[in-house]
Amino acid sequence: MTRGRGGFRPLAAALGLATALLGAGSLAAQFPVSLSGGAEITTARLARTGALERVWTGPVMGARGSATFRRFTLEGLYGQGSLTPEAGTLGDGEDLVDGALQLRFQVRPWISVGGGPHLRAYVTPAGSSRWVRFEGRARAEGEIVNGIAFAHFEGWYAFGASTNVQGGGSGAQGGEAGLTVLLPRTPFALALAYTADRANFANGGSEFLEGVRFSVVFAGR
Amino acid sequence: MIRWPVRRVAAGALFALSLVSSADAGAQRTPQPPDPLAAAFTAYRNLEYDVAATRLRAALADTGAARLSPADRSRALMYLAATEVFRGSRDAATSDFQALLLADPKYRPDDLIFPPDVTALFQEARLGVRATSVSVPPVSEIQGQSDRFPITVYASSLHDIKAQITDAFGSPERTLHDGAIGDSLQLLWNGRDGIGRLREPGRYLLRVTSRSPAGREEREVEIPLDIIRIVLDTLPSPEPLSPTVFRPETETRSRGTRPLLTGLLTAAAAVALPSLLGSGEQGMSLRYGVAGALGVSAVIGMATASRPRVLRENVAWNRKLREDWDKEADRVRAENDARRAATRIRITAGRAKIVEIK
Repeated sequence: MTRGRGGFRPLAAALGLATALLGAGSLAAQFPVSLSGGAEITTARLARTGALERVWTGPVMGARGSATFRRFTLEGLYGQGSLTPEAGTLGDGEDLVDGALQLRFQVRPWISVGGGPHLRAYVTPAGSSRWVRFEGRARAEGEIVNGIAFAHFEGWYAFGASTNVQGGGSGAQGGEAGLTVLLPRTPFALALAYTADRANFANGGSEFLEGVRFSVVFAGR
Repeated sequence: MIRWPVRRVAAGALFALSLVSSADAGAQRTPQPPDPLAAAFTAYRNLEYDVAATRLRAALADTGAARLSPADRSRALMYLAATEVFRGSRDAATSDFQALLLADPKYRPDDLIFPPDVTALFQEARLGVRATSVSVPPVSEIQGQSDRFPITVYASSLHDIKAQITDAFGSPERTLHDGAIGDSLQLLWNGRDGIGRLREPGRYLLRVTSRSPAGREEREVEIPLDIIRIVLDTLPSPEPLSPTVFRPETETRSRGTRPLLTGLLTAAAAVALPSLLGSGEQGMSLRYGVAGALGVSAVIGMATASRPRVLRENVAWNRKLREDWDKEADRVRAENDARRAATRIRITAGRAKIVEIK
C-alpha cells in the first residue's frame, strides 16, 4: 500500500466530479434536473474496540454529487484517506476507502428519507477489511438564518451489514449534524458537519468512525 | 386629274369591304347600338363627300347624350380629314388631322383603309403636333421594393416631354422622365420618396408636359393620383401585469424561536451523537466546534428573524411571470413591426385632364 499515491485519488475524484457536473450543465439545461456537487475534507477518527482498543486518525478527502428530479435525489459520495495510529496505539496505519450511493425522496420541504448501498474498506499491509451495508436514512433540515444558513441532522441505520472480519457484521448506525452556509450571489455553499458511525462485529467488537467534515458545495441548476 | 377618281373608287371599295367584314363579324356577336356615323359613312362610300363632310361635322358638333365617344370622334375626324383630302381641301384636312392627334395622340390611320395620299398628309400633319396621351391603371397597389406603378405615354410625334409627380399644388415631388419621346414610352414609379419611404397618403398629380423644339411648354396631360395607405391592424400590447398576480417575495417572522430551536437542537445532536449511538466513546472534541457554529448561527438567526426573509420560490415565480410577459411583449412588438413593414399604398388614378399652355 502506498499512502502517498493514495492521497491524490480523492482530489482526482473531486476534479472529475466537478468536470462531470460542469459538462452535465448543458444537458441539465434541457431537463428539469438539478445538479450539485462538492469537494470535502474530513478529519476522521477511527476507534476499534474488542480485545483491546485502538485509535487511528487522519484526513479523508472526498467528493460527492447529486442529481435531483422533482422530489427524488440520487446522491453518490466517495472518500479516501490515510489513517495513522494515535500515540499509544499499536499497529500499522490503514487506508480508508468509503463510498455510498443513495436515493432520497423529499417527503416534506424539511425532511427526506432514502437509502442505498454503502461500501467501506480499511486497507492494511496485512489485508483488507470490508463492510457492505444497505442503509436507510432520514434527513431533517431547517433554516436558521434567513436565506443564508441551514442546519441539518441525518440519521441512518443499516438494515443489512456484512464484513469479512471478526466473524461478520452485527449492525451499524450513524448520524450527522451540521451547518450549511450559502455564499451570497454565488452558486457555492460551505458546509460544516460532525458525522459519526458505529458498526458492530459479530464477536462483540465494534468500530466507531467519526469526523468533522468541511465541504465546498456547488449547487448548479 | 385622272388619278383622283381612281383613288376615290379604290378608297370607296376598301371602305365598303371594311364595312362588309365588320358587318359579318357583328352579325355573329350581340346586337350593337346603331352606329351614329353610319349615315356619314354611307355618303362617304357613295363618294358623296360633301354630304359626308356635312354629316361628319354635324356628328362632331353633337353635345349632350348624342356626343360621340372618343373612339367615334377619332373615326369621324379621320374620315372627315380623308373626305377633305378627296374634296381637295388639304388645309382643312390638315386641321382635322391635327384636331384628331390632339384628341388622340396615338391614333394612326390604317393603310389598308386609307389611300397613301391620306396617310401621307396625316404623317405630314403629325409632325407639327406635339401631344401625348397617358395610360395608367385605374387602381394599383405598391408594397414591396420591386412594385411599380406603370405609366405608358403615347406621343403624336417625336418631341421632348417632362413627366413628373407633383403634390396637389403642383410642386414637383419626382421627375420620372425629362427628354425625348418617340412613339411611346413606358415609365415606372415606385411610389416612394427619395429615401425609399412609401409616399404619404394624399392627392398627387402625374403631369406629362410636351415641349416645343425651342423648349417652350405647349401642352400638358394631368392625371390626379389619390394615394391611400393600407395598414394592417396591429396587435394590442399585452396588459401590464397586475400587482395582484405577483407572489410576495419576502416574509417576516414575528419571532425567532424556530431558528433558535432548530440550531440549538442540531448543536445538541452534534454533541450527543456519540452517546446516542452507544459507542461508549467520548467523541472527538472538534464536534464542539460544529455545535458552536450551529449555536452561534441559531442566535444570529433569532436576532435577524424579524428581518424580511427572501422567499426564493416566489422570487423565481415572479421572475418567470415577468420574463413571460417580456417575451409576449417582444413577440407582439415583432409581429407589429412585421405588419407595419407590410404596409402598402393604393394609387387610384382619376380622369386625365389636358391643359393647353399658351
